[in-house]
Amino acid sequence: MSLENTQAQMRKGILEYCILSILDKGEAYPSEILETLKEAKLIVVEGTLYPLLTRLKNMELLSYRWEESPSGPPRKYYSLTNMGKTFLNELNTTWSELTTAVNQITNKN
Amino acid sequence: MKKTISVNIKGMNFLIEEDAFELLQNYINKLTTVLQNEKGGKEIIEDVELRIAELCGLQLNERKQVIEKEDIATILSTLGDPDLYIDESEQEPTNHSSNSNNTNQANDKRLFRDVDNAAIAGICSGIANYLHIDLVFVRIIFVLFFLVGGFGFPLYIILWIVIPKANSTIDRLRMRGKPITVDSVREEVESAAGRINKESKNFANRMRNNDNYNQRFSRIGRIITSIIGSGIIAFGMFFLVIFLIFGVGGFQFIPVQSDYGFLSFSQFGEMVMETQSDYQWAWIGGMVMVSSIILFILLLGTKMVFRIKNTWSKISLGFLFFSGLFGFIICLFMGMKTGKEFAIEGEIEQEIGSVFTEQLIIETNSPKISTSSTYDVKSKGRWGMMSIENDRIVESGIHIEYRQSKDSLYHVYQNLSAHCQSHRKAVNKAENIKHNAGITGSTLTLDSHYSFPIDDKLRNQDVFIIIEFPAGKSVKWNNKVIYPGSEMNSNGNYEIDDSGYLNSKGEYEHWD
Repeated sequence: MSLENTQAQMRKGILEYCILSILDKGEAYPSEILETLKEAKLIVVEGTLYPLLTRLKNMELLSYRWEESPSGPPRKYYSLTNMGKTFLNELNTTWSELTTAVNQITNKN
Repeated sequence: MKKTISVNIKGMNFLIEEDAFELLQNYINKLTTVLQNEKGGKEIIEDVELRIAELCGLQLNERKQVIEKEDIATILSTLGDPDLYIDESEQEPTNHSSNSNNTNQANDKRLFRDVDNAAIAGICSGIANYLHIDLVFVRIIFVLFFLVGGFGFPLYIILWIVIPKANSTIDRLRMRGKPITVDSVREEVESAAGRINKESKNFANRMRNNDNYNQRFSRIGRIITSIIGSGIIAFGMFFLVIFLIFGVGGFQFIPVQSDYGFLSFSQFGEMVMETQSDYQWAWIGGMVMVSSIILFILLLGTKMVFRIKNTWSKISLGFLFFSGLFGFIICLFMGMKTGKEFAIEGEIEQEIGSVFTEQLIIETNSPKISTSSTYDVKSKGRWGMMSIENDRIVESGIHIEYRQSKDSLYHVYQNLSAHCQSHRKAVNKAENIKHNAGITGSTLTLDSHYSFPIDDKLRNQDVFIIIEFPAGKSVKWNNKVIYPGSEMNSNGNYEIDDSGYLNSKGEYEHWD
């Protein structure tokens, strides 16, 4: 179990939550999502995003629509469904609980 | 200077260097393999292709018109290794997971038909893969098998039925005896990029409609199957016609001079079988056997031509096989029972007469058999014609044997023999044989034919005439003089191995 591996595991766990959070602010197409995630250094290679998007879409948390792009190929704009919003709210609660718990534990040392 | 290709990625046209394209193609192929069993795999690939198109577009400007290998390398490193596309949170790890040393199925080498390298059904190429020898070599051997004795053809058909087709990448690896790891799967996929790509695209269709798949991959095989099937049907039809004419229709083809002209197969059977019920059993057995075989052949041919694969046809084939076997067993049993009727020989010998003369003159009678038949039956060879007159079977052809006389007289004996299951019955049948022979003066009169009651059946009835003659004397057959040779054996007796045959035309043939 290497350091990179552990880091990757940690990132992966919260990636879903982050994607939903990004889309909560408004619809976006994968490249935009990637940009945000890369800036936050949550993602190293882009490949990990696509399976997640597909799975979230299959879980009916996300939906998408096509839009022509002036400069490139057509874009898939993802947005949260109602179910996705409820799901995200649940995750928000869990996340605040988790951060509190983690802070509590890590600050004790 | 480098060659470029025009590529359409998700509706965008790019000029791309050839090696850059290969790199890209490999990546997509790997991805296809990795995501093969993943839910929504196609969609993920689509998304990735969209992203690639977008990133390629970003690389280009007014001065740079062509995507280079380095560009693709950068893009691919941004996207990351295909193995990372596995959404581990959802799926339990499969064979395709990152554990690339998973060799639990290694060396599990199996014989498959290699339809990708097939000339007909991929049997030769499959064997070549299995044995690690050159394909051409295997094909030459098969062609030789086909030419010499022709058993290569049925062998090929049997192998075609028995050996499964290599359907998946895993099958193809097993066929070559390669360990099944992610790397080897990938390698295999790369070596057949186009094929896999096509297959994965058609995967859903294939699942839905298995026939389409078969159609595409064994079209040649199907045509050949149809041709063979038609041949089998024609063969079956031919047999059916033969069967209807000779078996059911009672066509009289066995040449017999009788009031009925020729005999049919069943009439002949009645003359051989001991009892009426024996004959009926044999008839039923024969009918069941032959009709089963014919139906089996016709059904098999139809199955091949129309590619019927339902269980009903299989059950029918199985049933016909066993009914055919059943009929065969009945026939075999009746054949054995009839065979027993020929087991024991019974013979009777009686002296016709003795005469003292310088030369024995033999006259033969071969009466023209009166028959209402319109067929003019000509007998050839030494085996005489059988005829039926007044409820007696008339056969012709008499065996002649010469022996040294112990005195100065000619002695003539008549030996009648027949076969049956017991000696007493065989002797009875021998006694029933009527053969005219008599001596008047120095002349022996012989009929070339003999008769026995039709109820005695054909039991190998035979007639021998034994002529004992004094040393040095001769026998005169219708102008032909025979001096049977003699040799002294160790006991001081003369031993003569000369013999002859009186054929149906009353001509004598001497054998020495």
